Formats: sequence, C-alpha cells, structure tokens
Amino acid sequence: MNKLMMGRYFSGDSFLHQLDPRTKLFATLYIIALLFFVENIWGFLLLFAVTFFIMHQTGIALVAFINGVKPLIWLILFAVMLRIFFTGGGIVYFRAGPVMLSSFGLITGFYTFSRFVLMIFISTVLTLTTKPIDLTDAIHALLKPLQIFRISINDFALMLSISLRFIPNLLDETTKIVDAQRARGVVFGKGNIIQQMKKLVPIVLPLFASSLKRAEELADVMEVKGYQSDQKRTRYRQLKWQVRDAVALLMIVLLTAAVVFVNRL
Amino acid sequence: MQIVFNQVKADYQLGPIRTANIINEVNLLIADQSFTAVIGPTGAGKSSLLKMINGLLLPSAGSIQVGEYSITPSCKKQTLAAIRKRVGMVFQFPEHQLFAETVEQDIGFGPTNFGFSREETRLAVIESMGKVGLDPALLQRSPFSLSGGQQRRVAIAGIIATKPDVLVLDEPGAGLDPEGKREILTMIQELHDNHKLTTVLVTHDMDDVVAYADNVVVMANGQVMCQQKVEELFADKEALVKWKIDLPEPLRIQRCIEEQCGRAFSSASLTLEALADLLLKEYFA
Repeated sequence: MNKLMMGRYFSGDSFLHQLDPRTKLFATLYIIALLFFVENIWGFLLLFAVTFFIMHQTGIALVAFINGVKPLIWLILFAVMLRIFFTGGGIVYFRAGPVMLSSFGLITGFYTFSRFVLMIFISTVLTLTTKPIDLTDAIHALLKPLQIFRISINDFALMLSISLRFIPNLLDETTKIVDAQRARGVVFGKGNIIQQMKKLVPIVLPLFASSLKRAEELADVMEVKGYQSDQKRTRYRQLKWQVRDAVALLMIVLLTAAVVFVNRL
Repeated sequence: MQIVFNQVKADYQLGPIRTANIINEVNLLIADQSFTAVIGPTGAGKSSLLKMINGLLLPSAGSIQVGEYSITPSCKKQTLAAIRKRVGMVFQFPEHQLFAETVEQDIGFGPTNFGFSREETRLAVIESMGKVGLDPALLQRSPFSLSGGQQRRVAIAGIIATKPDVLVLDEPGAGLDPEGKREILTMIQELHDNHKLTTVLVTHDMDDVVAYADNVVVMANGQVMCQQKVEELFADKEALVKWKIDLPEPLRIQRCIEEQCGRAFSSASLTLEALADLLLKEYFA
C-alpha cells in the first residue's frame, strides 16, 4: 500500500526543484509532445541521454524512477508486443497469418517502448521534484486562458488541491483499515478474482463513509469561514519567473532544434 | 497466553527507503493473564508493539513468542492466521472499520473469516453483544445509524466474538466523553477477569494505568525503557522524571501537598482513598 511512488514528492534543492512549477509543467508536456516527433533511432538516443541527464540532475536515486515504470510494465510490454508482431516491412524473419516478426516491427517496437518509458521518466521527474500544491498552482496558471469561456478555473483548482491534499490521509486511513480487517481474519492475495474483489468491500466501504463525512465537514467549515468561490482571490504562494526558468526554456528550444536536426540524419 | 519478545527489531519499509527501526532490540515478557499497560510519548513505538503481537507488523530481526506460536521475519501465513484468531486487536477508533449492512453481519465478520460455522457465528455474535452491553434489538440495525459509543461497542464486540485469549487495545477510550470511556474500560476489565484474558493496553492516561493495569511497560524511541508493577513505577520518583511520565491525579495532589508543607511523604498514593489514609497517617500518627 505504501509502495505508490508515482506522485510522491522528494524534497531537495536541485536546479529542477527550484524551477518555477509552471516552467516544469510546460517543459514536461512539451518534451512528451516532442517524443512523438522523433523519427529515428538517433532521436531516441538523444532523448534518452537528455532524460537521464535531467534525472541525474534531480539528485534522486534512479530506483525511484524505475519504480514509476514498474506498475505499468505489463501495459507497456503489451503495446510493444502488438507493435512488434503486427508491423510488417523491411526484412521479414518470420510469418504466421497476421502475426509476423520483421526488422521494421522490431524498430517500431523499440520506438514504442522508448516513448512509454521516457514519458513516465519525464513525468516522474515532475512529480518527484514538485510539491503537489505547486503543481496545482501551475495547472491553475496554465488553464487561465479557459476563463475566456467562463469556465470557473478557481473551483477547478480548489477541487484539485483539496483532492491532492487528502491523498496522504486516505493512504494512512487505508493502511489502518487494511490492518484492522487483517486482524479480523481477512487474508489478502488469496482465492480467485471474485473472492479477492469481495475482500475489498470491508476496506472500500469504511473509506467511503469517512471520506463523505470529511467532505461534508470540510464544506461546512469553509462555509462558516466565509469561503465563496466566485470572489476574486489573492494568492498566498506567488509564483515568480526567474532567470533559471528562462535558461530552462532556452534549453527546451535547443532540444527542439537538436531533434529537428537529428530527424534529418 | 504468555507473550515473549526476543531481541525484536522492526521498521516500516517504504519503497526504497528504509526508515530507522521503529522497534529496536525489544525484550519483553508479558505474563499469562496479566493486564499490562504500555505508556510512552507519541512515536515511541507503542502501536507498533501492539501490531507485532498480532503479526500485522513482522519483525526484521528477532522473534515473538505468542503462546505456542512463534512470529519470525519469515513467518508462514497459516501461523499468522492462527495467531490472529487467538489475539484480538482493538485499534484506535475501531468504529472506523465498520462496514456491513447490519450489526449482526459486522460482528460476525471476524468469526466467519476464522472458520466458525453459521450457527457458531450466530451464537458468538449474540454472546459478544451481551458482553459489551449492547441491546440485542440492535442486531438488524445498520452500524452507521448508531451513536459513537454504540459503534465502538459494536466494533469491540466484533473483535471479542472470535473468543481470543489475548486482547490488545490501542487507546480504546480515545475520543469518548469521560463517562463513555470509563464504561468501555470497565467493560474491558470485566472481560479480562471473566475470561482469563491476557490484556495489553496502550494509553496516555495514567489514571487508566492505575485503575486497570497490574504491569506497566514504558517505551521511548522504539525501546522498552522499563517494565514494572504499576505501584513500583509510580513510587520511583527518579524514573517518573527521567521518562517524563505524567502523574495520576491522586499522586499529583499528593505532590502539591508535599510541596506546600515542604517534606516528602513515606509512600506514593495511587487512589484518593490511599491519599486520604496517607494524610491521616502522616499527620496523626
């Protein structure tokens, strides 16, 4: 239960930790988009090198990033297998009906694998080096243009930060309830899938009950304290654009240029 | 059942991070049918110690002997299941674990898991409701519709329904009004006496320690600092200061009186009656 590494913030004072969350969020999305423009093996090698450099810069052990990939490894392998066995072209080594193994298939398989892994690595860098609350601010900032369409960004940001805020509480509570039910004789990881699903009821129901209760109390408290969602709000944490953010964006531009150049090789 | 901790170490492993030992080199003997209170500051490892008796937290080194069973770092699931059947564990705010549609189903959850037949479960539910003082008319009610105090009784009934030999409790009175708290603890003491249970109670309240426990274990930083008879601990002024232990109410009053008259009395009083006797003795003897 405590092994959820994705989205866990590691404190530190690296260049990446100090970057403005808006820059980090934008750069992450940009690099992920860039992954889809890479067309050859050199491009992927370049992006692997850049990603590993960024990961090294965070000062966080590699194992934390690998753990981010672990829960998704079967999904990734499934997608890669589809790519490998259903893509034709180049030298065909083996063929059985629609299934085949070709040199082209192997290469696209490698591309798919690299895209997935790099995507997870890069987004893990974001979540490991950015406090959830900063991330919410960044999302809020990037969504601001939507206000033109009269969509209430503030409500959305508030919902987001409240849910992020209560994730640790929910995890704690889950651990406690799991322990309490284990003490009452529930054995997890035993029996067929239906039996296993049934065992979740004694955990999920108390969690729902307490979450609903807490949501109600929180809403009451906010109302008592005079919270109104349609008011103009000032912010406690002011985001400031700094030199290092400009440097980071410049590096992004250089990376784009490098990708464009490498694509021509 | 007798519980023996033998050179036990434990930590909570969190992904790649290994925390410092939350339980460190603990040696402890909890005698059969004793009522032991575990005290110590927040984060001393009291709750972890309780979890270890139930096999919810496995040792990283050492072993724990619970009756004829032994919990080791590489313990089999069957052993743990057998231990959990013999050891009932009441968590802090046990009412948070309620989930079933009716009180009957919720109390019967543990017995069913531990392999009681339908008939045995039904009998165990009714019997344990009686023990915790719940009206059998509540059987078909939803546990969520009950009052806080009743919910806690239902939760405790769900644990004693499996007829454990050892009962471990983590602050069973937390969050209740003084009246409700005393009722719950008195009920636990009756269970302890009537069913020859071995009881381990974690508490912050020294008045509870004095009122219900025979033995007391003081913990700090994951280690057992001392294990004594309740009277011995509170008679030991140095130890009380050293481990920053609060005083039970009568002893606090006694200390105030001692300070006012500038001399220490011969013994430490743990009940108001004892304090009254002591004052009579000190002044009129």
